[in-house]
Amino acid sequence: MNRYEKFKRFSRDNIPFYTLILLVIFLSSISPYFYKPGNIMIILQNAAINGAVAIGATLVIIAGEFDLSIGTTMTLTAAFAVGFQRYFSSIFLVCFIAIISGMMVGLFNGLLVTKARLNSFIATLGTFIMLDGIILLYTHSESLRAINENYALISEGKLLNIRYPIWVIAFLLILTHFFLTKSRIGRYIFAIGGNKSISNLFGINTDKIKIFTFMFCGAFAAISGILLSSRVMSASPLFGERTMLIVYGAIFLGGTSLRGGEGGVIKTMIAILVLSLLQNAFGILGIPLPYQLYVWGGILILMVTLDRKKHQKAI
Amino acid sequence: MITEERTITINRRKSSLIYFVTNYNSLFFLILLVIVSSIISNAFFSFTNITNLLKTSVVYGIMAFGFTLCIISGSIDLSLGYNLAITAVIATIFVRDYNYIWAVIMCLIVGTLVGLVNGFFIGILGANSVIVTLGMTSVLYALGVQTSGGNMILGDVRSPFSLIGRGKIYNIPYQIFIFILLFFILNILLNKTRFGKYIYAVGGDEAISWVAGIKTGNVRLTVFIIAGFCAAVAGMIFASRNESAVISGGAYWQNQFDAVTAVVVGGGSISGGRGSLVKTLLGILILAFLRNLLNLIGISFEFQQIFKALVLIIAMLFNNLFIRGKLQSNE
Repeated sequence: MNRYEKFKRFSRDNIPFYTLILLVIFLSSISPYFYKPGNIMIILQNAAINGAVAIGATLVIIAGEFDLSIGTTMTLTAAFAVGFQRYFSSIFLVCFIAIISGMMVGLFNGLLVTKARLNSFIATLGTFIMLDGIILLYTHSESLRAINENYALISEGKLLNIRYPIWVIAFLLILTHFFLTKSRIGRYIFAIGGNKSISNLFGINTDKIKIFTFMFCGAFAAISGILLSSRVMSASPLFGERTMLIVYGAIFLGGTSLRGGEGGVIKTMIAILVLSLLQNAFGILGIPLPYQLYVWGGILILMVTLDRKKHQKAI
Repeated sequence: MITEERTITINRRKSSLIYFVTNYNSLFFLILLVIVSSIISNAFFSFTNITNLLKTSVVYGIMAFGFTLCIISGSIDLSLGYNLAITAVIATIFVRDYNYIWAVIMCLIVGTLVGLVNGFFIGILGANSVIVTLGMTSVLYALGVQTSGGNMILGDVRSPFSLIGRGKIYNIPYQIFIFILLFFILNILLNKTRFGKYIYAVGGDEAISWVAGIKTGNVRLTVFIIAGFCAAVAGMIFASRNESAVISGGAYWQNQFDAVTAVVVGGGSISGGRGSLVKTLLGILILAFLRNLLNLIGISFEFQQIFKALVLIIAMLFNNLFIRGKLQSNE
């Protein structure tokens, strides 16, 4: 590999990073509000909420599967976290219930995909429909209000002037990154996504690891649901409507491939930051919702097409 | 995957009875459902109940036809629901501002164009169908908000356009005729033409059909155009039946879900190369009867949705079981 090729690969693999820098320069030039610490905090908090789901979903995609139910899992767990405050006064218990229910959804998805050998797209679409029904049943199509005042502390409490969610997600991100790159199970996840049958031959229990990734994804969707609902102190049945668009847009922008066996959580997080900046820019510039949706849809379609092109060249 | 396809074709030649039983197992389920429904309610076999039941299933049924072609060619179209929404909005706007002919033409054109864009990304550029159509839902929603301003659009009740959803011949609604006509046209396309065989081939094994000289990209593109057209026809009927259209609301996802469920319950497999319109028709009828039955028992809407999702998952498990069982018996 000569220097030119190295440079080419390097520049191709770090597109999100450049976009991030360009966006920061662009935004700070158009608006004086951008550099206000309050605004930066809002951007980071948004990134933390979407980033939590994205970290989980990245693992599922690296393992070569797909989860369409992340948005509804997030909505459902948020509804549980808020709704169960009527019965339990402890916030930890409520969050625990939400995370466990997220993991249960993941377990269900994982069992469908591995033990029943269903296609993950359509199996998780089934879960999507079912969770949608459960959400309607639980919330009666209305927003639930959080009763416990302390619940707001999760998103408003500060450590060294930085809000808790940012600390939590930064910590989980680093943990997941090292887990994915340094641990044995992390290596296995990459191996399964790269080639399932060969991984099986090497004695990796592919089913167990796939179920693990789905449960991991469910748990992170739940964390995201908790963070979002604690910020607005309520849970709306419409929470997860656009989560999928932004999260998958970011994952493919970050360079995680739909084929599996390739990618990383840090890349995903940088892409999430890019999209959060973009979201912030939309807010500052006052761009109406339809145009925002064109951008989200466009990014998703464009990135998945580019992902395919990249692999065609590699073969 | 390839061996699976082969065993099925071998089975098809071996014994037509076994082939019939394993392939049309949904028919027995349908018969069972009819028997149960007729025992539970006396009103079930009345003419009005049956036509009403068919009428409610026309919209997602037509979408299910398009989805069947997609699934046979090995792709998924998640944008059908919002395609229905956007065509319904456009048809209603044109009925209000111009006349019914423009409404019909424009909504069919828009729906087909949406299919064309999907097909371009999926067929020609080779992107993953689920993600592209997922992105498309957002684009279509935005387009709908822009054209309608986010408000409910009221059509013209006196316009002949409302006849599509409300007119009747011999007490049978027009929309059922449209449904049956579309079924026959697509069935001929799928079973009697070379293009139909190509769809099966592309879904069965894309690489081999490409080697055999089929332009797989163009086949995919055409399939998505047809699916878009089907969604547009469904949107036209939807708009004309309601005489109004609004872009937000869960009705569109509901129809999308129902279309997917109908296809899967009928025995279509997502891995491609399998399924037929007759099976989808059986699936549509099963879903319609099931809905009717649940309504007769008095089960709430939310529980119905959970129940439908369970039916979808069980049907997938059942399909998998049959295919794997056949594979083992052959070995």
